[in-house]
Amino acid sequence: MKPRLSKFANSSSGQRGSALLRAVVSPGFSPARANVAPTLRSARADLKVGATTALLIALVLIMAAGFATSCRQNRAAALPDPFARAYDTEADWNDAAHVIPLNYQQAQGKRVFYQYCVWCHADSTPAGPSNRSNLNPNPPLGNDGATLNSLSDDFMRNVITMGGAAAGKSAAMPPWGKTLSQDDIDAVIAFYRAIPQPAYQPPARPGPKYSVR
Amino acid sequence: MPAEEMGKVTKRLRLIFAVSSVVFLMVLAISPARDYLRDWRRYERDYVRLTESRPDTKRLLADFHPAIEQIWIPQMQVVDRCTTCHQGITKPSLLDVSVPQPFRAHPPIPHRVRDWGCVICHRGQGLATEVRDAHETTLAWEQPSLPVRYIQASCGACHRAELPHTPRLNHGRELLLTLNCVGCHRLQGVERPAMLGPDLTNVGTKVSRAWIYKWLKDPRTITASDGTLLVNGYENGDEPRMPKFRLSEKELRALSGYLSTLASDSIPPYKFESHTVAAWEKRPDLVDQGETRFRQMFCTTCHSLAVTRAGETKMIGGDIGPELTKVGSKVNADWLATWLRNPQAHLPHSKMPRYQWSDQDLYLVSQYIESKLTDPSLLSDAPKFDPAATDEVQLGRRLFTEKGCSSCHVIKGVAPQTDFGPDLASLGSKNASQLEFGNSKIKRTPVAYIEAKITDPAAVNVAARMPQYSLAPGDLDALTTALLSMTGKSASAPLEGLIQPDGHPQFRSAGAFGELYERYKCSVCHRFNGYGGTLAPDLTNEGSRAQKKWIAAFLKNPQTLRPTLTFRMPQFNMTDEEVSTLADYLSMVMQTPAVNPADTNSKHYTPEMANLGKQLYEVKFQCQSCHTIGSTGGYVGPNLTNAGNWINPAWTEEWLKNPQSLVPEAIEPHRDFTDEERAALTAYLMTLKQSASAPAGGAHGSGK
Repeated sequence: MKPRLSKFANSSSGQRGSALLRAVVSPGFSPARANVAPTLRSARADLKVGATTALLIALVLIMAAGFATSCRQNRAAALPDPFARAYDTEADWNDAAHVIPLNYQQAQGKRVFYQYCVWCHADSTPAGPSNRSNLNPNPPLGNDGATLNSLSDDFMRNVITMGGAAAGKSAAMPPWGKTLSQDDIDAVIAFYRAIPQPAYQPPARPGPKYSVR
Repeated sequence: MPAEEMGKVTKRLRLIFAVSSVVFLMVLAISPARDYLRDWRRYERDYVRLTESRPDTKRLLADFHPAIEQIWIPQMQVVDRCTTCHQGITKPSLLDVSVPQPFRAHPPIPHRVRDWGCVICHRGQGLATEVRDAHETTLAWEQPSLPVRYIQASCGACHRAELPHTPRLNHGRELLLTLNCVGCHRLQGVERPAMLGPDLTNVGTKVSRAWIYKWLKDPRTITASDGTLLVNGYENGDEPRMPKFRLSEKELRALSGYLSTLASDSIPPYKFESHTVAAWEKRPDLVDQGETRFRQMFCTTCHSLAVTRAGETKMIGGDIGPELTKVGSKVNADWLATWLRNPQAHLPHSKMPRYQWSDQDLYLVSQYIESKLTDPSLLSDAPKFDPAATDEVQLGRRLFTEKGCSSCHVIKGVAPQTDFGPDLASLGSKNASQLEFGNSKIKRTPVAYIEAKITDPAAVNVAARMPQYSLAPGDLDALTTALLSMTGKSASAPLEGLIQPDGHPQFRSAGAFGELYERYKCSVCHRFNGYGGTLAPDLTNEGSRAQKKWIAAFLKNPQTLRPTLTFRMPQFNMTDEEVSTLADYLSMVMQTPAVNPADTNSKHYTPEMANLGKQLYEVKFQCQSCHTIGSTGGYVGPNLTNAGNWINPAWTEEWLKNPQSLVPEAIEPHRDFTDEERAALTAYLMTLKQSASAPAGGAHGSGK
């Protein structure tokens, strides 16, 4: 995210400087010559005009440079730290030293997960031991990327909303559609997408690639 | 004037005129050029260009106007022009991280961004149309935009009640309370409790001068090199509430000397009956028996202990009371026995219940604590002390108030201090120029100031009176968030509805139940009408849920219904009379109108229904994945082996309709049962009865 943002900032301010130069120089320069030239005959006067024009051009250049630099200053620096923008964090379940930043939606998913899902979809729970080993088939771990990453968002939404039996999975997975709101379910899916190992790769998006310019 | 000269002057005038008209034209040109190049105009052009490369161009440009956009919320005195540049803020198709800022959509939040604007949450200068002016500190605007890490502070500026969406803010507010910040500071929305730290009136009878010296020197005892907090040498995630004060050797000696002389109101030592002592004193299994009693009484539900099993040392136990691993080397034996008998005689606000001790149990448990929960080397690095000299005591007494000790600790005869530290009720809306940075190298922003101040007060001001807290990084963020949420603003009229007073009035009851409720400190773990702890089940509707006989049996011998729980209800050794008083009150008073026992006549449950219920339970709904009956089933829900003797059938039917309507935080999913299914399931559960002699529940989970 960082390089993208700063590249965008730099290239635009550079272009802006040259646009400014064009804009200021052309209207200021040509009328000056038109007004001054016929009234002056002597070489001395020509010299004077030359000096004045040089002065004017220099002035214009200085102003343009001033603008360009002030424009550059105006660019906000890119934010360096991903955690400065994190709404909440979650430690990687396999490696506590690796902390995953969560955005708002994922953070809401984390809350829902630790209230309802953690009991069967994790090996340790806020209350201690987990119910996971008790169930047959064993429910997938919340960070089991090998299993969950290949499931589409729609499928996950269906399993959570209508229960395992409705989706051809174990009936031990109850339906949560009346307990959780649609936002909660979407949030918990976003959380499942944030924490898995191996990391989740969203499916390729249809439509043209977009860019700023 | 000669014509020649005249001509020269005219020439010069013409030249001046020419030059000035050029300059004039240039100046004229600068203005439109500059306007054309304004940040916001460029961003609007970029936005149009971006939309052209997207498939949904029309939708993205539907409400686009090439002008400055403004959201005005006069009730909150907010003018917000951020959406002029942040054009895509409400366009769901621009939510993707690959969309460049400032056009990315805002993630979905409970507020409509177009109605509320940005600066109410993100702060910064809403009026600005330049990138730097809007986000950073300028000469005219000292509140830069808030790092997203602390964004929950803005939720807390209006929502004083606890929100489920703001875990960091909630944690920070909890820390403000548990760390006793209100001892010295005034904080918005945090009331000062009656007493904060332990009463020190008799501290001289409780601990030795060497212990006080060591504790004052570093209340953390040991901090590992990686910053892990260690209490008495064992890792512990909980911060001791007492912070570290920067005291010189002389001050340490004076304070410990003064405190060790305090015994003005002491309780005479408890004399064990001579036959108890005689019977047990010489027995080799004295300490083992004491340990057994200690475990049976579930002291570890509130207190933690370091336990070594299979070569691995772990902290086991709760955090309601202090950690006890080495308490035997800390407190005097005489003091311990009087404390265990009646904690409230020492400390009226103590959360510890007053157990019904038999003389023998008290002797066994105190012997166990005094001989096993010890560490002979605990005080080895403290100097040897002579009895405190008069001048040391004088100095100690003075230091006690000068250092702010009396903000948190009470000593009878010493006037308590209030507002010892600065008022922080509006810290979150302070400008950098209103804060004292001194000569420190801290970045001149309010956020950096708060971070630095709670990380290391001496870094901001060498002479700071504020003590040193050692906080985990997560706690630092949480505390900063909570402090930033205190903007000191009172709600303007239209928003008053949002600002609900936090917490519920204390639950009190008169009469016999009230006395027992106070004695056994029920509300430390249980919740009554919204007031009380969250460790144990909410008892507000216990009378509707459980049968009276079961409540009485449970109080006599608490057996957990949830085998995965580490923390169990202690056995209080209640008398029969106490048990019947509590059971009567709970079953008669603590009821909900949502459950009407008359609706369910238990007689209509037939064996056929019970059979159908068993099938539904086991096959269709697979309840056994979470509930245990007998020895099979899951650990998530309560054990149902004895459900027929435990739950009221009316409660069960209502519960199966919608568990969250009875207990909002219930984990059990709300499912679509038909009326027949509900009745059949209830009929089946009511047949599940266990004879009184067999142990209830699983034998799991005596520890983590």
